Amino acid sequence: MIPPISSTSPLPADQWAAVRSRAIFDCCKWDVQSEDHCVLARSPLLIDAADWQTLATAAERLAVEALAAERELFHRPELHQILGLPRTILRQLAHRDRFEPPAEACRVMRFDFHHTSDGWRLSEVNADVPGGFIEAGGFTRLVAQYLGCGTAPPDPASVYAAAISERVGTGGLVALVHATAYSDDRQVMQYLAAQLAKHGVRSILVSPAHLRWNSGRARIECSFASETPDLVVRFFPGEWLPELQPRVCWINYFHSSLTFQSNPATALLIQSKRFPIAWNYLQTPLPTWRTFLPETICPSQLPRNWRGEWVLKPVFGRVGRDVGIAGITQENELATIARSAKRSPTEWAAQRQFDLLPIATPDGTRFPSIGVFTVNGAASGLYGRLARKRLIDHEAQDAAVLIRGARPEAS
Amino acid sequence: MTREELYSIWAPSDSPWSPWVMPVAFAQLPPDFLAAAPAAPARSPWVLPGLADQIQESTARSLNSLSVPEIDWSAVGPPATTALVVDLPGDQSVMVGAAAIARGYRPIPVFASAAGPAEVLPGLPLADNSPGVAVSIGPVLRAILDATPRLAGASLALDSPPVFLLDARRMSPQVPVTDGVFDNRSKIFPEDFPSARFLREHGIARVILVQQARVQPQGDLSHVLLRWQDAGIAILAAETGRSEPAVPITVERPSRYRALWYRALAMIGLKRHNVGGFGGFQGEWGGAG
Repeated sequence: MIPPISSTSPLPADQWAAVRSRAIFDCCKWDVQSEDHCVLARSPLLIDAADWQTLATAAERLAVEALAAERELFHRPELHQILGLPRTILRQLAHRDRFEPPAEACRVMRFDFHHTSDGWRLSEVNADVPGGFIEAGGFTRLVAQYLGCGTAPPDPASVYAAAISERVGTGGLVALVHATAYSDDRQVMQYLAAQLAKHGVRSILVSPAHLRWNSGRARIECSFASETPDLVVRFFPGEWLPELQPRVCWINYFHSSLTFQSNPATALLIQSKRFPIAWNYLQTPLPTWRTFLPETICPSQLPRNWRGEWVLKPVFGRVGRDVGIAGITQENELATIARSAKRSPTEWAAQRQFDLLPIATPDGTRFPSIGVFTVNGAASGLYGRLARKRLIDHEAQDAAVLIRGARPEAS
Repeated sequence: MTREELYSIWAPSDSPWSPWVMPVAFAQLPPDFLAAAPAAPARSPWVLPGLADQIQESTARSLNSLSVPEIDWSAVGPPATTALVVDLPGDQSVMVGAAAIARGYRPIPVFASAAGPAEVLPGLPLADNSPGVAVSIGPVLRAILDATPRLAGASLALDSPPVFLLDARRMSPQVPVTDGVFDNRSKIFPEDFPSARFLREHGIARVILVQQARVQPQGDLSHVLLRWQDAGIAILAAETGRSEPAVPITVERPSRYRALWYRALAMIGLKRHNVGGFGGFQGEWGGAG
């Protein structure tokens, strides 16, 4: 089988130095080094135009289906326990008869695809706070500029900013909510702020503590700003929100918000890795999800000899955290994960394992994943990662993904 | 000089240690900051050269008094097998790094805190304390700017050993972190440093931790140093302002040491501090702020 994605030769040293420097200073990519390796791959990935179209179309259908399912789930609290939501969030959503869903705008998601022996497969959706804007945006454009072959897909941050601009209008104000203590997160917010500025939108970077909610409307109140935003962009994981005290700091992320949110925290309803376990109870048809996502069950239903056939994932795990795969995860770690899944099965999901296909790169054999961004349901960029093993985790490198030949049509 | 040029002075392409110069502090400078700085006379962020020399000489004397074993501070030329980790308040760290240039060390800033929203603006001075910001980075940036001419003028060898510069205040807010305050506290992680294998491959056999009035490293730094120590790198500790020699230490095992998901757990452990803010951590970090 000819792989639809391949790795190119690395950029020459002088060009790579320029790309790295511009990624830092033009694109706010501050975490370029991780121990002994650069987190940015010097060799970009090339994907066939036909495969880009396949993935873009699939992602757009997945987004439409997911949002329809989220809307139904919001009004079906009897299914929320299946999703493994934290108790504090369950309590808030249980009152859905008295509350309206939060006002939402500019929904952004990232669908992670993998090339397998059965074709493209989806491992998960990042529907709550997807990352990768810098790498899929500015960094990819820089690489395309220097490489001279292949076309950069749309910049998801730019598409996102344009969508926000359309919603709030020129001169509108956006609160970019994030954990300010983490420069890894702040760099994303600063990059997005720069994109918003290009579209005539003002932004203020704040922590959740800087936002006050009054009758469902958000207001920024802190030592450096006191204004009412037209829209709140949240880059703070939804499942962390209940840690905020008092409760009025966070409940409007889940319901009754009159200020537009991107994304509302109800995104957790489809972000949960146990979302597929609720499918059979939903009226919403999910044909594209059923096509691309491997079978997913509750760990309590796993056969005794599940290893090698199934993958264990925590309900709200990110970046491959605590994923248990026999032969990949260290044995003691896998045993711990298996015990935890047996003890608290509703906090885990078991996904049927697929056969990831590797590609050859100048650095050796690597396993790629392709994240497809959607903004308001339209495919809006590609986020490539390269892992040494059959698990995309924090050790994976970020790779620019360029499209062979024709200009991208979807966006 | 642009901020990119400033960064390239601290992270030249031919030094093996340059990849670990953390860009965060440099990226906080506005693109036109350095171009505008000379035009701001009385409020310039630049310290007068004479004063800078005094500071650096003072720091150099302090470093001289460390009497670090196997390092002859009065000798010219780099100590071949020793790296330094300086964990002092940020500006002092940079000054020690500047003094170490003359000893043949290459300073490697590892500052992770972002600037407050109005902390670094074109044409304005870098303040010692910025109201409403948990950890002011003004002093760190000013010290970097002050030390730049010395570094740019130095003829460091390609194999000059590193002196990693940390801000000891990274988890210690200068103001109570109430809800309105910009919380830019930060931690460092093993991923922010070279591995023990890389150190050994580049001739480093021992690391001297330089800090104030303590022997054991801060909790987050313990994760780094213990990994190195486990891999056979000797770890010594020295205190500034004392003439006692550096002493070998056994780095105490921090919680979650070598946990596969230590970094992720630390992030997930991010909790709202009991007086507000978002830089407080559970577990070993609970007392930090």
